[in-house]
Amino acid sequence: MADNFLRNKPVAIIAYGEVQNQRRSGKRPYEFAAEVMGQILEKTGLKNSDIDGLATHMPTAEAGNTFYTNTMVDNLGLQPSWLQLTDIGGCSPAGNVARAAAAIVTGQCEMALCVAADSTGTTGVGHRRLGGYRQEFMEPIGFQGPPVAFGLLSHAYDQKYGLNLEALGHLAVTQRNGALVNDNAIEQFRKPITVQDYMDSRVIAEPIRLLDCVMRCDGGNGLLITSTERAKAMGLDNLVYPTAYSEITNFEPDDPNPDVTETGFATVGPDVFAKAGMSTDDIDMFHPYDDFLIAMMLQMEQIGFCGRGEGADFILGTDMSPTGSLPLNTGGGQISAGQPGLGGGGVNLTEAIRQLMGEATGRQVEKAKNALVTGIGVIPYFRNWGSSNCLILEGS
Amino acid sequence: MADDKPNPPPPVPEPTLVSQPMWDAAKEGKLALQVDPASGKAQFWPRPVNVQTGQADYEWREVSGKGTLSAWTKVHVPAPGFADRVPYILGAVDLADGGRIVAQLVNVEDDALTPGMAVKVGWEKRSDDISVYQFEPDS
Repeated sequence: MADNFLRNKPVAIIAYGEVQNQRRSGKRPYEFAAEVMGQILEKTGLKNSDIDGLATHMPTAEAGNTFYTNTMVDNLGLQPSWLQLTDIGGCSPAGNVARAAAAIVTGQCEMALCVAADSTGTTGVGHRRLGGYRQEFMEPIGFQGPPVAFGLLSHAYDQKYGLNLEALGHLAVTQRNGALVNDNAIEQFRKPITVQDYMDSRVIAEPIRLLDCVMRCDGGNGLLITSTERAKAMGLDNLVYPTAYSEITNFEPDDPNPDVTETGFATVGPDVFAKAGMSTDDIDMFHPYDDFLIAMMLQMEQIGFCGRGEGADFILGTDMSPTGSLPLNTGGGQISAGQPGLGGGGVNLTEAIRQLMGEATGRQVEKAKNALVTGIGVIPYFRNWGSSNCLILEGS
Repeated sequence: MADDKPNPPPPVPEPTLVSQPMWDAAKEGKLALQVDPASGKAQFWPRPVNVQTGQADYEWREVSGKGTLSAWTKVHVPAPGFADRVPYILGAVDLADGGRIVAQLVNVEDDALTPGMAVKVGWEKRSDDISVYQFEPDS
């Protein structure tokens, strides 16, 4: 008989909220979700900061908004450690109860808001006008996207610590060398570059240069995961185990003027090591999310490989090649292998798994027993990155 | 030919029911923000809740529009609608009354900018109903 994790009543619904259904309100799903949350907070006497999980569905009114749940939590002032977007149509709200129960039982969050909201009467189904902040507050001022966000961030970092372009160029060259021996890297990046090439590349939004940036492309990646018991029963012995994970979204939402050089990695880095009983010294390979070069340097500092402002010295003093002391994104990273859109977070994850299975031909890291893989999700309105996560993988 | 087409104008923001009071004030040349009455903290951009409480218990308040510049970037590759302006400068302004706005900096060259310099809000009319905030040195 299949196990039923709810059999012993491990979770309970403690309040509900509902707004009146309306024909054409002019509102967006965010506003309805805010009203529902307000009712529940009123009933329970809780604060929004007591909520650490959110489950919702993709509403028709926001379809095409690929950052829907992140925008939702930003609208609600939440800082969840667990987010769930469910797209199983009319089954979603009930399905989210089960998902939230599973998350709570497994310790991913303690108190989850399950909310369903849409405004199809107002928007119809074919519109492209999205709520949130991008269309109303970024595009009208000429905020041309991630290079501007990282231009501002780089300038903030430069004022606080000093920006070392040579170190960033060093990262660009290290990753490009990986792409040269990665058959899955995008073809146009399979040629060597130098630090000077990085310096000389076209300036997009000062000090961000072309070779700081990721390039979107087409592609895909994935993995198959099952219970270890099942895998062993299947006779498999080349396994990769996720052994620790930490995630945070909407870092410090109650600070209207946050220090943008700080990120959620200051939280999830130490947390993932505490969960694993490890330290940075125990990490054999580092596969950080790389949309911009400086993002990797900030992660090195905030996860704890070096101190704040010491990233450049750490980069210049560490061999990050496959034969070095801390191999970095050995297949080129997204910046040199290409970013297949929103599947890009899987590029470095796949490379870490490939390494731990001993199949990274031409760039295999010998004796690598583990890897640290990270993700960054959403560049918000000149705040810290939307989501940050860290995953430790161990080989067999 | 695409090259023969004039550059499109910058986008005109479309207010939501939440943000409308800000744009109404902007039309009169005034900057209004949502403020948490308990702490006095202002938030920008407008949200359906006061992020300090999770409730819609914010107050709209007219603020001075003065602030200090924290970081900036000179943009060389324009966003749609901004080809006629390159290079242009976008700056992050920490408002004297709290909150932070990213906006175009005008009437100043980038080599004259310094961290912490005083700036004040100004307005660029985009349509009969919409004026967009921008900042310039407050000398």
